Parts: sequence; C-alpha cells; structure tokens
Amino acid sequence: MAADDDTLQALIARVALGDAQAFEQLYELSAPRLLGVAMSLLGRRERAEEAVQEAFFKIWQRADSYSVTAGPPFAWLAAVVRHQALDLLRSERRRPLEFGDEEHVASLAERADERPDPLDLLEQAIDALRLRNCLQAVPQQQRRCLALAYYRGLTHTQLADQLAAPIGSVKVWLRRGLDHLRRCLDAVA
Amino acid sequence: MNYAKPELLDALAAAYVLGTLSPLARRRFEHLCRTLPAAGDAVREWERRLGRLAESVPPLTPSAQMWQVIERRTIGARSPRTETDDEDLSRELGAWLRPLLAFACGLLFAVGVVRMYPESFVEPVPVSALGLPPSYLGILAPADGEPVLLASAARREQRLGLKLLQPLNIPQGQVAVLWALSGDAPPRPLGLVPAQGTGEITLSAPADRQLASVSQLGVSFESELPAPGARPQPFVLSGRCVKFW
Repeated sequence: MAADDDTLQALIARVALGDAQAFEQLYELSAPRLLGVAMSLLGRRERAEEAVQEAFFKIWQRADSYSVTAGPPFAWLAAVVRHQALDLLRSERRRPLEFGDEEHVASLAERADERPDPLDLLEQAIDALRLRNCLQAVPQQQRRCLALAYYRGLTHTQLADQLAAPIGSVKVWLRRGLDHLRRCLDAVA
Repeated sequence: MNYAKPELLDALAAAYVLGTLSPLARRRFEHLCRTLPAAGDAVREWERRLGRLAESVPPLTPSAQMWQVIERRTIGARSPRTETDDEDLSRELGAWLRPLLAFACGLLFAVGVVRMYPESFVEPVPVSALGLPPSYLGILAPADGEPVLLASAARREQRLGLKLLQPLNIPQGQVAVLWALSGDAPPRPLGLVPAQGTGEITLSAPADRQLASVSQLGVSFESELPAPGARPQPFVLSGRCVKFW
C-alpha cells in the first residue's frame, strides 16, 4: 500500500521520538516498496531482505536526522535502503568464489532476468515525474548508463564492461546524464 | 584532491548516491562526509533528487520473518534489560554521573532544601536514579543569589519541565519568560515560567532540536510572551544549559 508524503513524514517524526507503533506502521507502509528497491540492486530475495532489515535498524536509530527540507520522505527512506544494498553488493563482489558458489552464480544469472529492465524503470520514473519533455535531449546511451547504475548498482568499471565502452566515456555519459537530471528534477521540485 | 571545490564535491556526491564509486572510493567518501559538512550536504541534495527514481520500482511482499528480525533488534532491544546490560549501564553511567550527582547534592544542600522539606525526603539518591533518561538541564539563579529555577527536558521529548526552588517575584502586570541562548544567535523565547511550584513548556520540536546548541538559559520579565526575534529585557535569572548523558 502506497502512503502519501504527509503520512510518512508524520510517522518518521514519531519514530524519532521512539514511538514503536509508528515504527511498525512506517514498516507496513513502506517495506514492500523498499524491498523492491533492494531487490532491484541485489537480485536475491534473502540479501534484499537483509538490506531492508539493516536499513530499518538505521531508520529506527536515525529518524531524527530526517527533515522535511531534505525532500520527500520516501526518497529519504529509499536512500537509506540503497546505501545498505550497495554496501552488500560491493562486499559480495569482493568476496572470492567458494565451494558451491558456482550453483549460486548460475541461479543468480537465471533470476536476474526476473527483475524489471533498468531502462524500463527509468522511463517509468521519467513519466511519473513528468520529466519526459525536459529529458528528451538525453541520448539513449546516457539513459542506459544512468539506469544500470541506479537500478543495478554497477560501478564505473562494470558499466564500461557491460556497455563495451571506455571508462572515460562512461564517466562523461553519467556526468552529462546527471546534469540533465539535476536540472529537470530541481525544476519540478 | 581539493575538496574545497564545490563542483568536485558535487560530482563525488552524485557518484556516491548513484552508486558508481568503487568500494574503496565509497569508503573514502563516507569518511570525508563525516569530517566535511559540505560533503554531507551535497550527498543529501543528491539523495533528495535521485530518491524519486526509486518510486517506479514495483513493490514486493516481505516475508513475515523480516519484521520479526527488525522488531527484535529495535523495539524489542529496549526492553526488558538483561543483568549484563544493567551492569554495563551502571558502570558507564557511574563514571559520568558520580561527579554530577555530587555537584547536584552539594547544590541542593546549598539552597537549603534540607531545611525546607521533611527529613524523609532527603534520602540517599536511589539506584533507580541512575536510569534517568538523557536530558537537557538548566539551573538558573540571579547574578548574586541562590538557584531559583530548575529546567529539564528529556532529549527526545517536547516537554520542558520547570521547578521553582523558591518563589519568583514577578512584577504586577508582567510575565516571566524563559529564553534560550546559543552562541552569537539572538535569544529565543521558549515560554512562560510560573511564579512558584512547577510548570511545563511545550517546545516546538523535540529538545534535541531545540536545545542541542543552547549554552545558557535566562529568565526576564516582559509585558507579554515575546514573538521570536524580539529582544529580551535584562535577565533576572540565568544559568548554563547542560546535556545530562
């Protein structure tokens, strides 16, 4: 169930005061969407749930750091979850393969296809935020780069591998794409 | 790198929030955020922007275990306490509280509380007093006199409790106003102080947001509760505002 900004803001404010009931309500209203965000990055349900659990632990401890001037409450919650998921993703990719991992990697590759396509997700967000006109000048390559980075958590190096492009080009595409996004998002904020 | 350049911080913050930094660069930038406020500000700006993109991701139904784990580590963790927790807490609080309690006891004796209240009231500080919640405390006195007013607020609460240790002689037609003073900022009126007994001021936000930077409290006599930004009359009472944790 999606919740409006006012409801989430009020709940976060109560959580900052240590209100356990508000914390449970905040979880019920936001956890499904936040789990989707973590799943998009991590691709494995148990890891995604782990990221959301850690994120809610931080939200319970740091709800008083949220301010309405920091933007929409779901954007703040999503940022906490994304940072947690990115940390898990980076630690997974650093870990050497162990016995039995081959099977896991194979299943991961199969399940990766079940996730929504990152470019589709970006296009849907662009429509939902009414940025279509503002972003029409952004080339497809820049969009793909942004989408893979945001929804899949790929680093500069991984993006260069995936897109078969020099890392310098990837950095330029991302920078230009982000500049466009900043202008458009700030204009509608 | 020259982190004084806003455009560099902005680019690093964008890459950090987007998630494209390598693990090492990510850790380095997180360290920078802890030491350079401008870096943290740049991150929050990009989180505000890019967080909107997460709204298009389809939701998933969490397993029942997910909430159970979260609940156990958050709400469940604050009650009930184990013996080990209590021992750790007593050790930690004892190191902080012994000097403070000694000071508070001396102060109470100094203001004659012992003579003013029945003997039964003045007992050794009970062990449960060590469980006082983290609070902001102020003890206000005239420039050349004994303490008159105690003010306290639990750090996450919006209630500021007041206790008059002796009656306050408020001139006819005036009110006593409590002010918060922080650094070079103008004094900020918090609310009205009663002439005697106890009272309470409802803060506009939890004490952690209202009092964290406040170093002094003051009381002045005014014709009415001043609006924010007004200048106070001379303070008749003042004292330091301290964090009690």
